[in-house]
Amino acid sequence: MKGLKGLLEENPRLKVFIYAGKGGLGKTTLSAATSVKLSSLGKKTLVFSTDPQASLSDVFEQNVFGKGEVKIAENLYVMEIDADKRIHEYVSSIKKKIIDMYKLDRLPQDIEEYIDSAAAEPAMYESAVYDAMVDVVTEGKYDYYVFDMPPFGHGIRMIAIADVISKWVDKITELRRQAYEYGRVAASLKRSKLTYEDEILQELEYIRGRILKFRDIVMNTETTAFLMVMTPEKMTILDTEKALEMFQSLGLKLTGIVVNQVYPPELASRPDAPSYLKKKVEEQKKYIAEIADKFGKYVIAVTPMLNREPKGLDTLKIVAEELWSPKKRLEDYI
Amino acid sequence: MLNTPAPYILLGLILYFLTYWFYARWVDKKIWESDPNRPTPAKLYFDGVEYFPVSKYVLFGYQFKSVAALGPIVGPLTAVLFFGWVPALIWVILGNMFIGWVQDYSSMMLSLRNEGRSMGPITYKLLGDRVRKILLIYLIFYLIIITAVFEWVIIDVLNRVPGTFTAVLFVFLGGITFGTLIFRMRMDALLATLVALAIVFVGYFTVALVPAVRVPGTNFLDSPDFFKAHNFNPALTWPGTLTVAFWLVVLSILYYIAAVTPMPKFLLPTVYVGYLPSIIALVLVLIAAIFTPLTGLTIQQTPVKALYVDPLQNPQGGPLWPILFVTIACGAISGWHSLVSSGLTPKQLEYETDALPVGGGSMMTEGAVALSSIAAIMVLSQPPAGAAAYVQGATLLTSKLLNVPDVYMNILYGIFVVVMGLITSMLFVRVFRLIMAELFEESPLGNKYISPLLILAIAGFLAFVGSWTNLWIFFGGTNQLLAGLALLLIAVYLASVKKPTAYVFVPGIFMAITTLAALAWETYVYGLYAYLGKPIGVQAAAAVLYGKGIVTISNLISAAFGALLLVLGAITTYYLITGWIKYKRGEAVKK
Amino acid sequence: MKIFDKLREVIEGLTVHGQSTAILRVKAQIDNLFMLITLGDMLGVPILPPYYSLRLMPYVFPNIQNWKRYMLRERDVTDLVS
Repeated sequence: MKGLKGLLEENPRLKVFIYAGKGGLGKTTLSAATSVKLSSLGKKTLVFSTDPQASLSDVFEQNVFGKGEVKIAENLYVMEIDADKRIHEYVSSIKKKIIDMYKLDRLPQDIEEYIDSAAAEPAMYESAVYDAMVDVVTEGKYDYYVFDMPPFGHGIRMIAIADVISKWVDKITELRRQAYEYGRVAASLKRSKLTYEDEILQELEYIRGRILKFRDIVMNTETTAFLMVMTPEKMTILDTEKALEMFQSLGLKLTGIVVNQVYPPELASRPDAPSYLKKKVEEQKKYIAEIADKFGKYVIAVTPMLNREPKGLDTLKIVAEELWSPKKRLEDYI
Repeated sequence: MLNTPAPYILLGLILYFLTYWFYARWVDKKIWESDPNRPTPAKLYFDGVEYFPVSKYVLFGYQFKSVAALGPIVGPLTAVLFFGWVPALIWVILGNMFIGWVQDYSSMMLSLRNEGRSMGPITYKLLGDRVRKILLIYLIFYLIIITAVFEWVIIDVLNRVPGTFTAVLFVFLGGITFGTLIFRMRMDALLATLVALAIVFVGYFTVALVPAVRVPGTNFLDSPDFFKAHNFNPALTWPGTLTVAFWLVVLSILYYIAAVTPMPKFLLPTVYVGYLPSIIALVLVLIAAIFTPLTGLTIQQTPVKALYVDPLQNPQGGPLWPILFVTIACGAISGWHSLVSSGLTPKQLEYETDALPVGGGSMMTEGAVALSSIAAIMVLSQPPAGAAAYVQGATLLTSKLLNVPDVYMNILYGIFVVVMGLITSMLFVRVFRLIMAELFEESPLGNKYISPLLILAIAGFLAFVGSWTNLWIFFGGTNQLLAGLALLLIAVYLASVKKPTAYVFVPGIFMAITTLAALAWETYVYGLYAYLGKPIGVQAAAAVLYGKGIVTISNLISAAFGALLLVLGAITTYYLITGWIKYKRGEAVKK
Repeated sequence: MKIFDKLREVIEGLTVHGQSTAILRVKAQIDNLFMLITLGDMLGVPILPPYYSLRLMPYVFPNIQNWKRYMLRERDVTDLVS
């Protein structure tokens, strides 16, 4: 297994590492571990997550939730965004803008309801996160970015239809220009002037830019490594298969899989191991065999089930080493 | 003095003014109780596109432009030639005093008080879906006839006033240029107007000054021998000739383009540019009519001719009543106006009290146009048959007034008649297309590219083989019947809100009965001639060229149309009267 | 209002008003399409992600009320005559 080291050797231009997939499999731990390793190479690294359960704060044993970019160690920065707060601020700014632009006392009720209900949708949550990702990458302050993505909902479909959206923006822009022309002529006939510049056109360009940029960040195989985490369990294997299908349908290329929470196989042969543990290890072998069969070419590393909580820089360093340069081969676990 | 048209025209204008000042304002205040403080649809349903308040002066101009067509031009001249100028004058004056403005103003108030809705929905609301559908079907046939009639009028002028076509081409060129300048080149509208007008002037003066440009000439596609052989006057327009066929094709192509292209790009700029010289023409002829004592033009026409004309002698004739009343179509009252008055204008009235000056005022102005038309014919001693007579009369009046050679005014009025005819005809074909799309949603008949072909084919055939004066009377009949129906509809509404209805109901009944009688008469005449296999008047040429058969077919079609319209009109009148009775009694009308 | 102004307005009505209204109608249809595409999810037709289309809200705000009224108004053939 090539490990992260192998990935970087194959493609030295990698900048962005995205960990995607369901929660509870150790995504956050592995993202943290990855960032620890990369920063130890002397490169400025940012690890980014958005879990409202504040798991990055847990893992680094420091409350970084909603605190922006926090320096944890030399070259290592953590950002755990409070997506709800972001959305709330965003929506408030839109409302305020309307009130200011039109000198209202308050927003009309139907408009307020519409904005609030849109803000409550799950798709809004995802979009806010993706937008934050675009912000961060566009700023370009770091050498490496590690993203712990929220589970994919409908929002991710945005990348598949990014081109369609781009064409729609073209069309909408064209429509706006036509409407503007007609308005201008009508005003000219009545000997008056149209006094607004079409700011909407500018906004449309901005929107198109953001959507395309996000699509590029995620889909550019030269600069981005797209990683999934799985465990040797039946459900996870099924989920991973489904996820792979979805990725393919979106045009996403999976770079690698990390198999996590793997018991050391020698446990089975230790006489003092409890029987349930031995059984577990036997099962695990079976699943790993299945994994090797179905996803063998993707697996880049196997990370161990730790005998303590995966917290703190020291523990992370251990995991990071295994992630970086696996000592065993996949077959050794079977 | 009394032997000039001037005093009679002035009498008419004064009577109009008095009617407006006393009668119309009384109706506005007492019956409709217009209230400047009541919010109008323009304010209540403001949408920045159609519903928004507009100054009454702008609306007056817009309303007048929308209602003015060839009606007040051509109708009076025909009436004068048949019945003499006294009956014509009396009808134009009295009709406008008691019926004309009543319809326009009341249709506008009707719409105003019904959320700015137009005739269709109001009919539906008051009398149900069936009556509305009948109305739409009626409109379909109405539009076919009116298109045919106007086609004929335009062709007559194009043929007999050589150079008109060339000048009108320049108008179109000006229109297209205007459209391109303000859209593609983003030029200022005023500047673009000046450019377009310059083009029109170039055309006008070229045609007026250079005889060689006055092409094509009269009957240019037919050999003089043809006319000589059959004793047809070569200076007139004859249905069935190649020349007529040629012009029909040209017009049909034009109408088709106007019907299927988006309005702001072709139709509207052309209307705009064409209308500018037309306004001048209108104003000039009215002034010239009033100044006839100074210019020394005297009345040449007979005050009263026959009160009954035997249709077998002169097929355009008939008894004074009902024929006179439908011969002068829009000058006294026109059903088309009820559609227009309940269209865009009421959605833009700023105050309820604006409806009277805008709706009533523009109709009376149209009455003034009709008066000037009568004057134009009155001064001619030997008017040629056909619409070109107006051009001749107006030329005489205005060239004497301005002291310029005939040819300048000739071209101006030629342009005027043709442009006014084209403007409204292009609109008619478009409306036809829209109504067909509504009535025949699924079938190809409703297709936007096919339905214009339908109207152009039928109208074209009728114009090609038809007798135009009878078509004109037909048009008058259907138009006035529509007016009668509108008046009755307004009576129904007033009954439904418990207001007095006499002032509309009486004119409505009068119009309905008169026009039904006129339609019946014309159907009889067409049927008679079809049965006898004889060509009517000018149809003689078509009969010679293509045989009596085709003439008979044309007359049969006309008779059939007449019968159909008669039946539809009678049914609608019936529903309207029963509806009125029911509302009067206080019962609701079942949908 | 002075006589000259009144006359000017009458001429405006005679010449320009009809054209400008027809143009505004066409513009309204285009605006319509635009509103549908951008704020379509107000009517259940999502195209742009709402997160981004919200940015347009302040600019289209004045039109929303008029747009709704224009969209929902009944229209009959006889409305299009004039």
